[in-house]
Amino acid sequence: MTPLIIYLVYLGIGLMTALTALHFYRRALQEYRPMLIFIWVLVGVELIQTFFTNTVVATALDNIHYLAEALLVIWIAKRWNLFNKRPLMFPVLVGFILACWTVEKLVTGNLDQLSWCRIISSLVIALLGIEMMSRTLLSAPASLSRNTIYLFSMALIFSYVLAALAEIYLLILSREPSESLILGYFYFTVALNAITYILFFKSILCIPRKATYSLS
Amino acid sequence: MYTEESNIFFILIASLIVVAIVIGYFQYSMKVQYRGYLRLQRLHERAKIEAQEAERQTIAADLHDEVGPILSATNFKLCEVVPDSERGRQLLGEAQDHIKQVFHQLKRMSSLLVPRSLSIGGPLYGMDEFLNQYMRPLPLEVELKAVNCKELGVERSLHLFRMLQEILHNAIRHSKATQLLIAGEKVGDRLIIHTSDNGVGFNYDPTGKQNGHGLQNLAIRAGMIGAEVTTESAPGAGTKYKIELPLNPGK
Repeated sequence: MTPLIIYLVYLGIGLMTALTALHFYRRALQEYRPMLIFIWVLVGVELIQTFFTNTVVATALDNIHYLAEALLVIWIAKRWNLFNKRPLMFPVLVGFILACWTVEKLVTGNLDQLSWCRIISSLVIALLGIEMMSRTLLSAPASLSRNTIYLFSMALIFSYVLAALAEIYLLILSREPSESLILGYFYFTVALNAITYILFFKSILCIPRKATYSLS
Repeated sequence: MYTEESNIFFILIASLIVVAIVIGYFQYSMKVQYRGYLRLQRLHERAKIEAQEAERQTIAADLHDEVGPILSATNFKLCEVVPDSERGRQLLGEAQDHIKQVFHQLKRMSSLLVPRSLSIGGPLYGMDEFLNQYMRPLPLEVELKAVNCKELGVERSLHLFRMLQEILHNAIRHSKATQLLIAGEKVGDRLIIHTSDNGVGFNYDPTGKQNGHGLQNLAIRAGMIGAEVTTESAPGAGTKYKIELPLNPGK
């Protein structure tokens, strides 16, 4: 299979996940809606970057989307009561991510695809995912394969830990990148994101629905 | 100058740091969650015990205060009936006997749920009533040294009484003991109850994780009334409990 076909299959999986999220949006309970918005952002950014490769739009999106992803995950964590016992954690995390991004993008002017800020935000997302997962492990151990929070947090941990590791490798190796390295990174990212989308897709299907009431 | 070796070294170090952060945070997070989970479980057990005791007290009071007077009134009315035949006299006598039996059973049930002597002399008096009325013949020899500690109040006395019941139950069912000593003493403003049996004993886990439901209930009830329970046991060496609590925690 050529890289183009692989990429199209991967985009198809992403699109299917985003459409499923759209379909379930109205029926989903309020606290699960930020998760659906997060999935739209992921797929939306991917699609836009596909059509505007090597343009200013792609560079701008590339520099903004991981900030948006991190903020959305923090919002999701807040909606899932992760900060109930530590209410200060929410503004601290938002402030930390914003400060990192501002320092790197606006102060040092680093607009490269590879950055330490991206690694830090990936780690923050992964750690929040761990926190979400450890809660579900104790509260609903019997039905983990059908637990939206567990599946979503698994996807976050899997995706962002590996993404952070890949970013580190590239950051170190990018001083002398070869074509095979770039192709290898492409396959790795596509496979990683495809598995993540599948996990997101399953988590969407398991979202508890709003209770419906009828007078009849 | 960056060589291939230094690149590999940097990658290894960075990967290890990331993996260590993730695994470390996972362990920390699980530990925190588990602690919270245990706390919730304790609260749940505590609420269950409180609800159970409230229910028992309500049933005991209803049996004693509502059903009892109705039975007395019925008996009184039956006494007013003048039978006009020998058969009628016989049936009336039987009905009165049945009412007496039901009345006796009601008192027994009510007292079994919440012994009356608890409010008179505290948990050890309650235990005395329980042993004398409901545990005859006893499957083991019990020596009880009761001390009046009315100042504990009914609620705390009731929890202590249930703890002593649990100890008695364990001595009979699990320890297979033939002798049990329960001794209470007042030391200053504290009540100390010592119990010891000559049963088979067991491996006591001071962390509480490996202990059975009965021992966990003992600890929960002790926590509810501000008591400290010390347990000493070993296989073949019997079991000893020491329960210590202030008589007036408000002072």
